[in-house]
Amino acid sequence: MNELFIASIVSLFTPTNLLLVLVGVAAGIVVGALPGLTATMAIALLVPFTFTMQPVHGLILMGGIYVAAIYGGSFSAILLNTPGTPSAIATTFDGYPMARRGQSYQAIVTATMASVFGGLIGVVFLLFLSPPLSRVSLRFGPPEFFWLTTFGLTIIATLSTESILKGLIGGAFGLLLSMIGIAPIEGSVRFTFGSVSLQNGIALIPALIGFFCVPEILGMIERKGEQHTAIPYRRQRRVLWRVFIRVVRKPLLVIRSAVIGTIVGIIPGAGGNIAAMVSYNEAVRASRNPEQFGKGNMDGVVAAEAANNAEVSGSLIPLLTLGIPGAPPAAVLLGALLLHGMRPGMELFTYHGTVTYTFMLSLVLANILILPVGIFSGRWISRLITRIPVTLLAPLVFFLSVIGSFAINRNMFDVYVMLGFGLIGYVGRKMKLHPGPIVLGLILGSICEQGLVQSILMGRASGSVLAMFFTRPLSILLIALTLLSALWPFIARAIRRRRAGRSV
Amino acid sequence: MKTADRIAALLLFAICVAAWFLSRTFSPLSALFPRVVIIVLGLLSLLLLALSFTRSEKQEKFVLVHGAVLPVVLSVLMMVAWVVLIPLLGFLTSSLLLFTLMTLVLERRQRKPLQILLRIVIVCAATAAFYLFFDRLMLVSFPRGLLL
Repeated sequence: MNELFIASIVSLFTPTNLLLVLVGVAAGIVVGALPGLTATMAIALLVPFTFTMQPVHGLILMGGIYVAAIYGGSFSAILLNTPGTPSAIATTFDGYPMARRGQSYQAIVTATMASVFGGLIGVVFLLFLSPPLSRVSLRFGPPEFFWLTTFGLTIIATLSTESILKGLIGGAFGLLLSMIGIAPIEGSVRFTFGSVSLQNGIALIPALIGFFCVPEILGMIERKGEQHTAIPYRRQRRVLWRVFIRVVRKPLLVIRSAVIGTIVGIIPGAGGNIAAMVSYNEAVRASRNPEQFGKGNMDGVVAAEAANNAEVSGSLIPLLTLGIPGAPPAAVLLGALLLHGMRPGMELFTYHGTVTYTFMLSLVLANILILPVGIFSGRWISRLITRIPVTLLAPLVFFLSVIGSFAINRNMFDVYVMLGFGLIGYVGRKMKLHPGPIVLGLILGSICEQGLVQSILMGRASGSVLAMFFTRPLSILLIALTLLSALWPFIARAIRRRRAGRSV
Repeated sequence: MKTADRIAALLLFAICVAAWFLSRTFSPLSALFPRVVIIVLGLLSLLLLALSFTRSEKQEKFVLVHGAVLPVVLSVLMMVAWVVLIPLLGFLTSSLLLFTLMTLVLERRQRKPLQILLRIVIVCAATAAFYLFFDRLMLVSFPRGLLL
């Protein structure tokens, strides 16, 4: 083990590998910052090119892009209110209000610091705690997945701050959309209206691009008369140090967010967007001033960014140990591993030990490099997305959305899906039905359904469906969390009323 | 938001009714989860509809487009045209055409011919750069259509 570590460190610090980490980080930040281009897409596009590279080189490059793209998404989330990657959805909640207050640099620095700390904590988990954590994820059966997704859906209550009812409606609508295609059990073709393209269901990334980019493009055009442009990024003196001190003084927030991110990453199917949303939700609950969230609270940015960068390493834990990807970019990495003849499992940590540990250690370096690359190239990146006038930016974002939705599956139908959901998202916003809950329902739908139906089948086989859902220890824990999550807005309201009553 | 709430509630309820009828052809286990969700969504829609009549909140009109309507309508039409033209004319041609058109249509201020020319050059350069990067370097192979 020690020899492997030393050999991996020596392997990492070769000029080629160091350069590949730097290139991966720089490219990843640009990809993540541009709305419509995602880490999944960038890694997917890169896989054919890594085939000619040595496995370690390809993995290092993809790892750097993965880490940096998740962080890069915070730039457009903060400056444009458009998440650059789905993982940055929760960053918009407080990052954009901070930027609107003239604190765009503070928000970017906060996101950078949180990403670095969260990412590093995640890599520590990946390096040293992957075996016990992967054992926990192995205990997850269908009932646990059902309760886990139900718990995820109750986050809707926090997401839709304006109306819990509309948040729940959005979530249920997203669940309905997730059922389009062939049913996972018994295989009925559902809600496809005879379209063969719909049989595989709605592709998530085109739908996400549509829901989050098209309404923003139309919003930009709509507000053009009000001289709305992307918020400028101005570097300010001493902000770096001040933010560093503020983030360091909140170790509980950073560690909790990173742990949430890592755990969500480990759970298959749940990506950085869910990690950031769960972490944000928990930060709101733990705060003494929950009403300040959504109005430009730095803690909100820290919670979201620490979690989504920790999720990167978390998603690699089940991938490397069990061959189960924790998130869509990790699924693409699995393809790259298999392309190089590397089978996940013990073999990766023994036969390919040096390659695997060099790759994992390169993530430490990538997370550290985010700080100088992100801060010093921040001005250039923000110029790239902020100096472009709306008349150019709106068509450019749409152009990138077309490329982004097409490039994943190289399928025109995905472009139609992107535009269709974009227009639905625009009309929905006018009705105060925000895309967050709809997208959450769309992501969790298939996992929730599989969990429910498989649990019923297992329950019937074992003699009691109810026992299958309500007696397993992990299920009980998840049910308690779900109830707490669902009832929290009402409990919080009751507590506030009681406090107000006392003060009167 | 009363009007918007009523429109949203009625629209979603209609979707639920249609989805329920469609689910009749599904096998029992394939229909289980959709029906649970349809019932939940239907009940929530009815609750929204009921609340839109009982809530005493300030009347706010449902406005689909705030501000100037024409640029938004034109943009939507150009987006649709862009997507429809890709398989017909090819990705590069349709993108050059619609990207330029959208940029010039959205530009409200009267600009000098040289400035317009500069915009066109920027749009063409950006389109070509992204096209070359993805099509040639990343081998995405965009639809060719009749032209490029």
